Amino acid sequence: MSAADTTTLLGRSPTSISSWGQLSALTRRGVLNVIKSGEFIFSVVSPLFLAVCFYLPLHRVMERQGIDYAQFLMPIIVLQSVGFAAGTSAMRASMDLGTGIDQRLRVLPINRAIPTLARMATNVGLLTVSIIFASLICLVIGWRPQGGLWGTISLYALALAIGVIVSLLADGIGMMATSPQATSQLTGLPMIILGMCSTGFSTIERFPEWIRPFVRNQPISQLATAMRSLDEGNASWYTIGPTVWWCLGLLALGSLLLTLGIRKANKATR
Amino acid sequence: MTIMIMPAPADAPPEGSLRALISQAVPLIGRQLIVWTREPVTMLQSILMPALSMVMLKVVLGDSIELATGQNSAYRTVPMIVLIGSMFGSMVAGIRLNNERATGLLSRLYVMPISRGADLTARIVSELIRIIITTCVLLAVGSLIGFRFPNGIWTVLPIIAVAFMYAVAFAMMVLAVSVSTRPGVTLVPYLSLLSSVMMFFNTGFVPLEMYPEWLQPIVKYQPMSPAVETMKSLSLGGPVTEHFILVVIWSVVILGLSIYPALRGYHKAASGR
Amino acid sequence: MPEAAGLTPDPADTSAFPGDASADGPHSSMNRVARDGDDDLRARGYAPSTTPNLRARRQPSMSPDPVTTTSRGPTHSRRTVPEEARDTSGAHESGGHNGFSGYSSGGQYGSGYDDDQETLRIPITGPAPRRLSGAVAAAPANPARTVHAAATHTPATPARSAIAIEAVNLHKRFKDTLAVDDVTFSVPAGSIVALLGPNGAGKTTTVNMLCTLLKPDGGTALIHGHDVAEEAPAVRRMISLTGQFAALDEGLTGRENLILFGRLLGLRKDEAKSRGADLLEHFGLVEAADKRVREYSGGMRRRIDIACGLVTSPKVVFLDEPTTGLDPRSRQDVWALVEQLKDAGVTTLLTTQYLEEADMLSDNIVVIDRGRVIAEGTSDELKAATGASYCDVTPEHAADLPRLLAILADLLPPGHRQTGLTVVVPAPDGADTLVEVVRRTSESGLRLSDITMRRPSLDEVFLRLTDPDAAGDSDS
Repeated sequence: MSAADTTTLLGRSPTSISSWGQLSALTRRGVLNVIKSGEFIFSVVSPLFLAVCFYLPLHRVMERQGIDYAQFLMPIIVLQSVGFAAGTSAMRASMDLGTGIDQRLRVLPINRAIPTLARMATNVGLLTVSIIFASLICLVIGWRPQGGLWGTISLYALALAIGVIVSLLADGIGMMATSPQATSQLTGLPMIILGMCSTGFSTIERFPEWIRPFVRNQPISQLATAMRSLDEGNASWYTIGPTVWWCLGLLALGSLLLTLGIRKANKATR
Repeated sequence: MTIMIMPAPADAPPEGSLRALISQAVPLIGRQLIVWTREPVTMLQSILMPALSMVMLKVVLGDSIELATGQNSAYRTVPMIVLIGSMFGSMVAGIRLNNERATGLLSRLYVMPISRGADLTARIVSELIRIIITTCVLLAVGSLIGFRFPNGIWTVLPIIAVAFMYAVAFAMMVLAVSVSTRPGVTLVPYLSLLSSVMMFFNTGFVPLEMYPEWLQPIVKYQPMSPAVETMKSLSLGGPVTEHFILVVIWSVVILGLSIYPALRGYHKAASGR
Repeated sequence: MPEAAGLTPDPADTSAFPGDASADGPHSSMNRVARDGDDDLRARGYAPSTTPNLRARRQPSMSPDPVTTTSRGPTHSRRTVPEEARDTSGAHESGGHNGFSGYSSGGQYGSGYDDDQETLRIPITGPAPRRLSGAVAAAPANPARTVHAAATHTPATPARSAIAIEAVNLHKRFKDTLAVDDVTFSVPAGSIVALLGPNGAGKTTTVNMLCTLLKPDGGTALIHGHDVAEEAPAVRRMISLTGQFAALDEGLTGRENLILFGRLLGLRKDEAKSRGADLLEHFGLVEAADKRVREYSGGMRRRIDIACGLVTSPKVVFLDEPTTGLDPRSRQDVWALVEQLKDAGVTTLLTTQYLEEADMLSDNIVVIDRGRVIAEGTSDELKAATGASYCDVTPEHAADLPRLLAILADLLPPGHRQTGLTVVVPAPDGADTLVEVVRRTSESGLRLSDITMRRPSLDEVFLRLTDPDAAGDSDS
């Protein structure tokens, strides 16, 4: 082979590598994957599905109890889309591990934190889009922001914060779990149960006595209560406090899982 | 070491005979049922998930619905979940068919000297058996959350019959769809989505009056609603005939539209590896 | 009717393998094995073959029964056709005792039989008239002729039984694609044939037609004399298909799969169980027997797959890419199995992309490209037919390589690319090229470490045959 052929084959090494460039390249890849794989479509369809399937049949039922269901449902719809975006982040982490891309990236001259940061960036991007769509859908069914400027801003800040934290958590779970299938099984059923048995869909009074303690104190109910109070403008430490504690706790848990997951992935050989 | 030769039995019935169809469908039915009971996923999806959904709907929305209707919500929820349970169970069978087509088991069975209809018959019959079993189990669970039989326990039988009729038609449709699509393309997730939407928009979820007016005709005549209404009326009392007629019409139509594609599609799926 | 189909063994026929007593050696070796352990086998439900029985049966059955005739199209001249074949307007075996009586006697005649055959060899030309199924033999109306034929030429049907698979002008079109254009080949019973060809060549479609999965749009295919389109149920009783993926119920255990297949094929439950146990033992799967097939390794999966195909002995086994994706050890196991099948008299047709496999295993190779048979023959014949031989020249000192290339420049093809130390010189003149190379190198004082003549590898043959550019000039 001639020297010219060799150069064509091997190329030339660059003189310096920009971390920022790497981060943006990986993020771009993540975003493109999300779009191509159709997750993007799901982020639109699932809040729509939720809103349509619960609002249309139930709003008259709830009116009998004096509840404006559109206002009532908004938090859970937003939370659901947040949860969905986070859930897919778990799948993404797991799949990167499964296909071996994670390992490949570790061999490249790339800072260890960058692939994770890139994944987080993708997640946040998807999250933002989901929240926007969820809000649009809520507006369509009749929700109106009632908390004033600050109330609405804090509402969305809270939603975004929850999203980031849950993404972190989910990413950690994804890296710890053995396979994408195991991941979705781990996260799927508990999410449904938690979601349904919360004050997201129904007021606490309508639940049987024996389950009320669970419903009242579980994180999703707390989040829904917090968001509603922000939305109505009567937020107080009483309504938001437990939520803040939950967020901090989940943040800690998420960071722990993520660290463990990265360490596990580093040890993994193929 | 030589492979010992075992000749085919001399009394094996000719392929085209009824005796062949029956004698060969029996072990095939056996295999479907064994796998159904053995796989955790299928039992989960056929029985556990519907039972759980039944309980959750009662816990979360039961009170609200009772306030609005004055009736125990179980009389709506339980029939609805019985139907949903069969529907999702059929999807599992559809997925299994797709997988077996992909691995070539369908073709292999077709190359064996067995009746051409044996495997398909076995699938349908095992579906029927599954439907009856899950219906009975879910009705039992339902009685725990409030679905009782004030009109007499014998009403269980016509209730099971109605559920059976609906489920059979749906199962045949799923079979026709699974078998007619190109290998690799699976329509089962879309069917799954359709079933989920149907679950929210039938009179088993909330009474008809609760739906917006423009939706009410769709909800009223959707295949699930008449079946739910019939089952509810059979146990509680109320108009049965008008709903039952609709159930029969839907079942006959869906079954009629599905049988030929199912048969033809199966033949094509088995012949093309 | 099963009897007319000629496949269900006559109850009076106690040979374990209808047709295993035919003229060929492999079958008689099977007889011998069976005889040794007769009682043991009988106890387990196998019907051992015993030659004395055959001899006893042969005498009375021969004369009244007209022997089977076969009509066939273009044949290889080496196959002999009995005189009865002339009577091909539609004569068929009558019901009752089937044509196997003919070649059940064949094995005993030895050379005398061949002499008889010599005088009766009749080349048949022209397209094969289609077999009319169900037509009862015209022979009973012509007893004199039949008796004569029976008396002088009783073992008349080895010709028919000797060809396991006969494909004649097979043609299949799918909507707008022509999958199989014109495929014709024959496979003698008890041999192994490999179907070779690039993807999309029509191998799978051809196999599907032979397995009765698809009806040919044109042409005929006969499996042991039975038309795949007209007598599909009879064909299915004789064949077994093993695809590329293990076509089994993944949710059942290996044992349960075997029992299922056994019961489907008509065995009683206890028979199926014992047969399953035997097969598990033979294939070394006893420990894994009660685990789900889903959990099997690739090699185990392949073994249980093949085992399920052998539950009731097929005469023709179709193996579609049997060793694709297997590790070398499992591949050796499969090859050993195929050899065992051959010893048992089973005909094997395998499709493969591994030329080495085709080379090693098969008695005959059929190369298919774009729906047509472009070459057929043994591995050696194919290599010889493509004409090219090669001369590998290796200089002793690596530094001499450029000089060597210069010396041989005019012998090398125009686009020659040199890799490594060995110069591959096409040798159209065979050994003369070698002599020429030696002359030149000794004249210029260039020392060689090695010079060899070799035939092309099967890879090279295959590439040449399926190369669109070479298609015109290579005579296959």
